[in-house]
Amino acid sequence: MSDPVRRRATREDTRADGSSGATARAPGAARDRAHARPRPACAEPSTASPRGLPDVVGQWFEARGWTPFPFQREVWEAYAEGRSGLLHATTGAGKTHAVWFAALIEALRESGAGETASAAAQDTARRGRSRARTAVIAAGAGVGTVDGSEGGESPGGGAGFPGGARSQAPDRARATAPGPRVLWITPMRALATDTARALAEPLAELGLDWRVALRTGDTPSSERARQQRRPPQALVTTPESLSLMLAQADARERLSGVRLLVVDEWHELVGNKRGVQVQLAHSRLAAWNPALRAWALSATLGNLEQACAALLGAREAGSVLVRGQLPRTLVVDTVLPEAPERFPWAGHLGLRMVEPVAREIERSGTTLVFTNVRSQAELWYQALLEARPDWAGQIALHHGSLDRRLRDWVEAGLREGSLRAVVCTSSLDLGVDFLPVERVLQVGSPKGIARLLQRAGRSGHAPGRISRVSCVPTHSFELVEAAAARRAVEAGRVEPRHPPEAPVDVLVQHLVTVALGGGFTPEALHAEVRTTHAYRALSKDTFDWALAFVTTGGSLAAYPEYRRVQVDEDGVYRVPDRAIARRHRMSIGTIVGEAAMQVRYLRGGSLGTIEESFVSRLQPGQAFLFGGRVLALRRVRDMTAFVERAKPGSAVVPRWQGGRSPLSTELADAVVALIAEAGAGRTGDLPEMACVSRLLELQARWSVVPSADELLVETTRTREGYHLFCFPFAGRLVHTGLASLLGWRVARHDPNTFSLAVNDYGFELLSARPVDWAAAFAGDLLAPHSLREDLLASLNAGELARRRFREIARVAGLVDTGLPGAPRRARDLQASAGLLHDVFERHDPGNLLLEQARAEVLRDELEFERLSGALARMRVQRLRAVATAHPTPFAFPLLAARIRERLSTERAGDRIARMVAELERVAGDAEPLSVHAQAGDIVPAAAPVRGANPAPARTLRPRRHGRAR
Amino acid sequence: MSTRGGSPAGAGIARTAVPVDAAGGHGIELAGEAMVALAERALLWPARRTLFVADVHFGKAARFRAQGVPVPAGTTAQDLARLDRMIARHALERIVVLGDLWHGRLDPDSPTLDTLARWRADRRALALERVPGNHDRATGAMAASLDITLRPEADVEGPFVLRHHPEPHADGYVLAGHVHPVVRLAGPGRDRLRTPCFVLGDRVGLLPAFGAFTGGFVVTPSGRDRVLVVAGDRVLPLPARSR
Repeated sequence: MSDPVRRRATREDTRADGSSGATARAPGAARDRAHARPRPACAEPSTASPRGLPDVVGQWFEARGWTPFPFQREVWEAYAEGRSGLLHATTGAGKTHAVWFAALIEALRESGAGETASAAAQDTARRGRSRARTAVIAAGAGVGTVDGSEGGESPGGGAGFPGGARSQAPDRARATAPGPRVLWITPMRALATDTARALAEPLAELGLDWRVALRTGDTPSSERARQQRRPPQALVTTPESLSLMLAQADARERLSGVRLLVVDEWHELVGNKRGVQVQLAHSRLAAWNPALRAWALSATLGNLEQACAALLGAREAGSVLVRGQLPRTLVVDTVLPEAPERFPWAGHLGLRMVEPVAREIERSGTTLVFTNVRSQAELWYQALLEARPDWAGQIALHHGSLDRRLRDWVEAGLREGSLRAVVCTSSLDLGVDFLPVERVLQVGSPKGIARLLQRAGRSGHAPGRISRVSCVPTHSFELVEAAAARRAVEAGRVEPRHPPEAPVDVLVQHLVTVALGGGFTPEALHAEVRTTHAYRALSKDTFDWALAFVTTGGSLAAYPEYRRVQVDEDGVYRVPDRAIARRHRMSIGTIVGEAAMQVRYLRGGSLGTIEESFVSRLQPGQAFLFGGRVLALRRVRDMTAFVERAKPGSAVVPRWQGGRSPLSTELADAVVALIAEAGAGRTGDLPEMACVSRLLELQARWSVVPSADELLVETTRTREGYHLFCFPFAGRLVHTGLASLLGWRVARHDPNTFSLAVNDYGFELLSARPVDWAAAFAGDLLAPHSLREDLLASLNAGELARRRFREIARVAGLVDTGLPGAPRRARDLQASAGLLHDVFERHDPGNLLLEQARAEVLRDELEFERLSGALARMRVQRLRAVATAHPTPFAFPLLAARIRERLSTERAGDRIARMVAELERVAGDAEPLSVHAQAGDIVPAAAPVRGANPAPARTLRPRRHGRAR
Repeated sequence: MSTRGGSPAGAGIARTAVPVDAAGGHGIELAGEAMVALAERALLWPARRTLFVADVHFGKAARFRAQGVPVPAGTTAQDLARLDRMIARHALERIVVLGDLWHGRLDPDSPTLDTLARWRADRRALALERVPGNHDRATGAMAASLDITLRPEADVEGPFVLRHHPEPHADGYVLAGHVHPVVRLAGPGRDRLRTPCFVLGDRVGLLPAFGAFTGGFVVTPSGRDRVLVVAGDRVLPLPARSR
């Protein structure tokens, strides 16, 4: 296929699009930097000056041998017509220019400049460009402002722009608007500098005296003050920094001149509370300037229309959905293991694949090795260095916990092509392209199609290259997942990301933000908030509750001491207390990670951050792996872990949170289909499936390889007890819920205690006494009625909600962020979210934040909708119940899984009593504790001693591995 | 090497079981005295009809509200109700607070102070005493208004030294608070629980924080410490081997 297909998909014709790309090409993988290809290949008649475009724009493209793509013109026209919309394309300048030039063209038209630009002006502009580059370098070093012209403060700044290219327009614009015309939101601070650089690049040549500035958490106050005095025309910022600007008293004055709001990488934001924060900011800006246009830039998603609606809310009418994609050849293949195992085990991180991976890296140009979690990245980096010691200095490690300077160094190395390979996590999913990257390796399951596409798109940017991603399975079933992923890519099946519905914590934060940012009256703000997608159905009751929460303290009572937001004599809600105002501004944001600690050398020098819970399990002196180094913990002080280099040897690998995302529905369905085909002997031509054929044969011999309309259930007896293995293929979160639910429902009739294990394919219920599962499945085990109640009751949901409340309490401003660098609240104002949760639950049980915690547990931690769907499917599937003599290849990973959940229907006191009784029993016998822990029993978790008691000589960390027989 | 307070009889924890109190307590012997660790997070000295509590932190919720965190009302009432229950059940004559009775100084017209004054007025016969804690600075006037006897830091009573900070003392077995000790009990998977505890060492006995609105600090007791965990309405010993 030589001719790239380009088209605009309007709102009407997008639905038909998904099915069109069933070829070896990925419909989802857009051609980034589309216009970077040589003009002849792009086949646009170069003589045709775009209708109505200012000449300088055409000349700018021409000077690079480019022609504007139709999708870019689509956006320019739509913007000129006053429309908002969503542009679907992957990362790259093609997308950036589509939106950015829309604003630039508007400015050029208004100034009347550009139409008469002469060769002389162009020549000048070229010189201007080189100056601009200098300015950008300064910005990268932290200055923060990128000038399209001369250094911003220089009085002679216009000297390089004779002949009218330096138009009068900027001065006029400045006179009419005290703030920026364009706000460019990027989800990651780290991307802001690169984005500003890209935006500033064409300015000088176009003869626009515009300035592009950065406003993020890293922006120094001197630069912020400069922006206040002399606002830039375009400001690159983050959702949090935008909220912070909205919390300034003169926000309206400064931001009502915004004409274009661009939300870059919207797919990263749309599904979470940061996206809601952006929605709310959009509603503010649109209320101040009804002519505001908002454009989302998004990568591949299964629900682009909903994503567009989520940003625009009530202003969706008349918006357009533009697809900027060009099919790019994408190869998805698999690095096959030499000896695929028949009893796969997910615990060993697949390091046996190190040698094949090293060989692949040798064969390729610059390679990105993606892992799913940071701990895995650390291990793979070490393992590759051990396999190829001479690669020291040629390979690097990159993940979100590393210090920014280290990451910058790695990224620079990628840009220059000086690195052979970088082992990384989702930290490199986003951002500008690294041209030299030729190959992407995905270690372990990609878990979802969108993620695989995103990562694949990081390679093959140089002209004439293809994108190639190779899956590296860490156990046998990931071979199936790799083949399934390729299928799904070919079929264009990509996961959706659903926007959150009306989170109360974000609303509470917004009320305080707006009270600070000029104040509000309730009716007007309620109406404004309802223009967002998230709060489109926000009831007056809920709004009033949130209002009461920030004014009187709650719906139940008014606390006399309480003050946060107060009504002034004009009926305007404001924040009069300066300390409260300051704390709110400092804690704005919805990104909540686990409390993070700085990692520093004793002798100075920061290495990055690490989760507090991990550090809290280490003893001083203990070694761990971080940033590719073996470090020993020396002491902990003020949220900082002080470390020294330690001798290589056995080190603990940090176990970071995250990365435990479940297999997506789309990928799971593809896996089910492939396994069924394999069972029917129809996958002979797939190398991955050939690789797992021995496993599937054994599975068929000992049990059944289920088809898509069959539900496989295996029962086995081992020394451990009576096992049930059930395989709904619905992802680990759903299986956690299903296992708890089924255990709970069975135990209702026949009291029993179960241990649970889950993975992405199925779950295990282990009990000491036998269960008549056949009768149970024939009964109401899978019934849909009282599902929600049974599920919550089965899961000790109170404890899950309590943990969930941590994030909510931070967003709603009840506790500190706990992020490094964030201010700690005064000592007498510290309380944990868990404590607040307990107090609310006892004394204010109707608090909507508690309800939200429960709802989030259902939605995010249990995937309730998906669970209901899985249950419905299980009800209609044919039951294949097999009693096996041994755990089968399907069942073994569950046996080996580390998670053992014990079901508990009793109240906490009884539970502890039982735990203690169990501990007594073990304490009384001679078994070593490690054996005891393997049986999945209860031990107190180790924690460092601080306070009254001296540290124990040593602390045992239980490692839980279920054993087969 | 024996110190006065750490005499063989008083040192350590006698392993002989004292009958467990019927009302959710756990009997123990401390420095030769029969004591009961109560699930209300208090230590009862039956022979003297005396109750020890630590880290009450009255007024903490009010302080939060004043700083813009709407902690619901009711924590003070909850604390007082628990005290009342123990007063009635154990026929208490005296309550000794081992520091941090207050979270900080309260406004004279604070509703919390008013609640406390009314509670105190109905219980004139009860002796209330406290040793100073780090949060109790500048609270002398409030204590006086509530007829609370101020005792010095590290005050000796019988075999015990009463103080806030859990540091050993030459004059006897220390009863202290300050740390807000909790232990983390971990089960498989997500089964995890933090629960307040008593940590009774050779020379120092550490009480859990009494206040309803107080957090906890995870401690890892040494093998020689005896740990009693508060489990709902019961107190249970945690076996040493399992730590």
